[in-house]
Amino acid sequence: MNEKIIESCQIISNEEIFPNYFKLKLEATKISKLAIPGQFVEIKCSLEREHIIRRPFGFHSIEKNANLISIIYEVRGSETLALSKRLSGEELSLIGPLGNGFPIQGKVPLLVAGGTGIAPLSCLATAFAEKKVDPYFFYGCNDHKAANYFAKKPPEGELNIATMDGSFCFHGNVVELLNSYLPTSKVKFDVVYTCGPQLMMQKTYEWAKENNLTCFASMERVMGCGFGVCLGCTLPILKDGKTSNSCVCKDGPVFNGEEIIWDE
Amino acid sequence: MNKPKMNVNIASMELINPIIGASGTFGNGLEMEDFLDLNKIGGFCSKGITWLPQEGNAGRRIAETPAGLLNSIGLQNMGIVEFIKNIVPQFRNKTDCKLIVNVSGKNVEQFENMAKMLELPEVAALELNLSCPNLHKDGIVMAADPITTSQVIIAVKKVSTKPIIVKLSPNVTDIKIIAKAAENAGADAISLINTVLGMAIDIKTAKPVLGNITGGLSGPAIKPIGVRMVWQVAETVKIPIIGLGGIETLDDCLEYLMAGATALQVGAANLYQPDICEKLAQELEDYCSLKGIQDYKFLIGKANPNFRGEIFYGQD
Repeated sequence: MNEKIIESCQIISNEEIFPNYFKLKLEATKISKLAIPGQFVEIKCSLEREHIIRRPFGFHSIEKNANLISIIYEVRGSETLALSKRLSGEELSLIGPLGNGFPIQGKVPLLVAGGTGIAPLSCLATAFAEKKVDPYFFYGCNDHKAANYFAKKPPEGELNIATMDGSFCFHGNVVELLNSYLPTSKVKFDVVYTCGPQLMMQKTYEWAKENNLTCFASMERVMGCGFGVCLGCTLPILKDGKTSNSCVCKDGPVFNGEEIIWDE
Repeated sequence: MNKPKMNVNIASMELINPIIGASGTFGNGLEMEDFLDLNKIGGFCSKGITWLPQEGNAGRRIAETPAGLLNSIGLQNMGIVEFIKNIVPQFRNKTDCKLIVNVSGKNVEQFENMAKMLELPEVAALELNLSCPNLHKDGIVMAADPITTSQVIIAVKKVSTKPIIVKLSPNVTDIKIIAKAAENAGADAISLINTVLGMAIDIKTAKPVLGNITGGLSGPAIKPIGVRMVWQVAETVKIPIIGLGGIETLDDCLEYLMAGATALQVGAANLYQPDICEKLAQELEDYCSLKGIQDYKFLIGKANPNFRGEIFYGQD
């Protein structure tokens, strides 16, 4: 079983990188040492007793030598709003690293991200680069604000961007971008990783399946604990011909697309 | 002053301190070892175990509400056979932290059969879950009926040598009637409260948030209900009461003890502060030391003039 701990971490920075999206950098001496891409932390965002449950965030970067980790989050509800108001120098309580990370395999990996799904896949791209493997990165977002940011601070590998409103690069979703890119490309991918909205991941998985590629998807569910005791974040998983409810937090969040019942 | 006494005997089960991890929030104990030393807490209650494996409820199972957590897991578990084969043996050498198996039957026979199977040395006690609110759409529980409650307890007592703790539901008109029925039927202790039946609606989709529509509310939001019910039951029965519902601080522990609880279970707080049980056990001991209380048991029922349980007299 993966080691996990509770750690009080100092905020190094917590900046709005484009409207409504924040990058939080933390000093996490112990967690940074244990973490791998695809895993996540549970953060106690708010100090008010009204809000009790932590929120899960995937690693955007893990710097083991500098004892640093970062996450990228969108302000969506009360807890991410509370998190966005926390200041550098303050301490945050983290539990982590949680879940199973991405299995790192293949020589020509394709990474397909949507929205904040770019955060954990950037972390994975870094891990590939450290192994001298250049990933191909496809990123879909709503508009030029996100696209601009990541075009300036790109993840490792070749980055292709699609925007839903067409305000930056390709006009359309990331799967449409993939379909338009591939016929002109000579690249032969040998593994696919995806993280983002579920429908986008489903389309990516279906594309991978048509192309006989293994596809790992990082799933998201509302979580109670993050470490497998409340059984709140389950999804039906197909294994050995049988369907059973697995915890996204403990058995995932990364699953082989083959095991996921997409039309649940 | 000497270290305060923190141990407690419930029926024939000796706990090193009164802090117990509550069922459904503590996995099967071993998952929590990343965060705490199991040998520093009195015990824990396993995830509710059923006769056959159960997959639990479909759809969303968790929602946060003000100071609370609404859940509808639906007793997802591996079933009694696998539990006995794979989980129970892991407690063979754990002597301090007591394994209390939470059993949830659909009828009297299932309770009886599971109790027979759990006549194992590793099992310290059984907690009969008569009160899971998530098994039926309308949330009706066995613990709402004093006759069914009695029947289950009588049947289990006939076949089990273990202390029998009966977990009661707050979702009843008069908790005192059910508690009295449990005591009369031979229960060794009562734990309460289980979660409070509730629901939440997503106003954007105009649909219930939880897949099962209703769920059980836990967390600090329900603490006043738990304290009130422990108080009422402490005025009604003589058997020990294990208080739970929203415990997350030392003050919460003290409130429950003073209302008449002999021991305490910590539930939802394990999910967001997984070392909380060990912390509370230490804080309670430190509190007793600081206040010159030689035995934490002097606190039991202290606020309740009509407390009917065993009173521990001493200087405090």
